[in-house]
Amino acid sequence: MNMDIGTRTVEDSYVISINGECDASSSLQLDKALSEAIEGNQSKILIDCQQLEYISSAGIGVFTSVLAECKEKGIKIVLFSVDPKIFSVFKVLGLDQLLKIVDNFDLAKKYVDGM
Amino acid sequence: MVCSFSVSCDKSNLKQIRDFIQKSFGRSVIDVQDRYNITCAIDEFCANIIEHTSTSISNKRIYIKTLSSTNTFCVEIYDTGEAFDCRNVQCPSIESIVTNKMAGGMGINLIQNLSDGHTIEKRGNGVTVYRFFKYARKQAV
Repeated sequence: MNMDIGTRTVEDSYVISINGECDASSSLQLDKALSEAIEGNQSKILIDCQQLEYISSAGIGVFTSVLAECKEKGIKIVLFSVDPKIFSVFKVLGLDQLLKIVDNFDLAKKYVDGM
Repeated sequence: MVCSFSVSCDKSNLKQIRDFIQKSFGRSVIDVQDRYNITCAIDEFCANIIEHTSTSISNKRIYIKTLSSTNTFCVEIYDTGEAFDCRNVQCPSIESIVTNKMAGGMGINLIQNLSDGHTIEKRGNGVTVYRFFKYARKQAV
């Protein structure tokens, strides 16, 4: 398997770590993890991309499919530590304008805590 | 440098395709970002082929050839399926994708925008050759 998902709780925030390469064969794992977080009433979701080496449109689609729902439910979702190469692709799509992306965990925590 | 590769049409093989592309750059001066971009474009294109391959065709393979010089990188994908020209496909905006809670609609956008050129050659034997190009930003002399 080219990707694995880790989850942890930091205070009242829920962190999902994506490790490896998220493509059409592995994106369902990410979808499952994010869906469980939303259905589990997590209101602060941080996506740790420090070990994310590649993400295709299938993986990106996991985020685009839930952004509207998160907004409706008042769920804050933020990506952090995104590799510059990946961030560049997000910019090509315009995703950086709709999805909060910050440099590190501390900034992500501040964002979801409303600071 | 010319490299060839083939793999069965299965999503689980997309990683092998990406790895093959990455190893094919050789001594090209194409930078890291552009290498990532063209790899992404090819991954998206191959994922599209796999997705649209009928489940009744169990032994279909994807054939890829890379041609790498100092300043130019070309990827050829040979396909026997129905030819698909994605060059002029209108892609939905990211805003509409998010508003409509869509998970798809971005792959073709990436194919169109992450390569520097894309051509299609239909051969008489039922094979379509798709070529994708990436050029070095700083030309090596």
